[in-house]
Amino acid sequence: MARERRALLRGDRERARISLSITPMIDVVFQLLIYFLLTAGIISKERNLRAELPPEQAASTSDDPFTLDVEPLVIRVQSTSNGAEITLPSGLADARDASELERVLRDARFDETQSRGIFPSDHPIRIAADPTARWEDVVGVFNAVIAAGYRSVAFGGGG
Amino acid sequence: MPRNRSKFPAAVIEANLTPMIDVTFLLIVFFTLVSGIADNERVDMSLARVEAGATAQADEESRVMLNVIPAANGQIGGYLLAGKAFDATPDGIAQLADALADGYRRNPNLAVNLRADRDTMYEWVEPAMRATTTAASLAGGGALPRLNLVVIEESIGGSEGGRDGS
Repeated sequence: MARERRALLRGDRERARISLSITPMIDVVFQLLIYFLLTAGIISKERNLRAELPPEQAASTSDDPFTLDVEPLVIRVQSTSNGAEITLPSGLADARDASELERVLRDARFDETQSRGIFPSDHPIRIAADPTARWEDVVGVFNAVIAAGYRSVAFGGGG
Repeated sequence: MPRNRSKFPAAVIEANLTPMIDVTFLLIVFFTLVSGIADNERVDMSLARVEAGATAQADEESRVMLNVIPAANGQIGGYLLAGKAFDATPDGIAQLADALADGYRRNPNLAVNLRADRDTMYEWVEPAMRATTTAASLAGGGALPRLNLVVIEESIGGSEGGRDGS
């Protein structure tokens, strides 16, 4: 080591053989770069929609005997050859697809600042899907209800 | 006058491929192992599409993957929970609930990532959701049925792609 250092100081390039091979590092970096480029697109598309299911024991009856049970707003979903068929309770406007459902439910949500709307954001909503309904249609309705600003959404009671 | 070749030896140009081969083999071994694990958890299916996910993205938390294995015409071939298959029969669903309850006993904050094909009929997905709530109540200890619906965020009117290549 000391001899090579002395050779380097003297300018003797033949004897100075200190070198750092970065070729393997570049190989690895390129391989990792290609791997991440290929996998990043797949990962970013997937998303988890959080659904808080009501516990099984806490059915419709409340623990407090003086509190009236709130009748949930039931949204029925069926799948047809033309897409999802969404049925809302009478009194609400019709919704042909998930984006219309979102608009109708947002309009129906009680807004303190503007003193309009019927249902508070914690009003229970139940998605009653037909057994033959496509899963994508059901998920679309769930996503629209959440996007409209409601927090208490449950599945069940279809068919 | 002929050139004296012995005075100027021919230059040998060669690429040292050994390190790259080493690395490539290491990566092959790594991906083979990882894809084996991933295959156990994920079933290849076309996930449901949403335009824009409305709920907050679920945190990185303790979770288990529950797949509804798709079959033709919206039917299913059973359920797959963390690599273990269950039949789509009342007995199979009861066993699924028991397996989930074990998970809830180990960790009451367990989240279940539900993966179902976009064309699967709701009647086959609903038992999986019901099994999750049943499992939470079976486990006790304040376990709450936390479910994440796994979807793909993309334009529904767009391309017919979105097949989850896992």
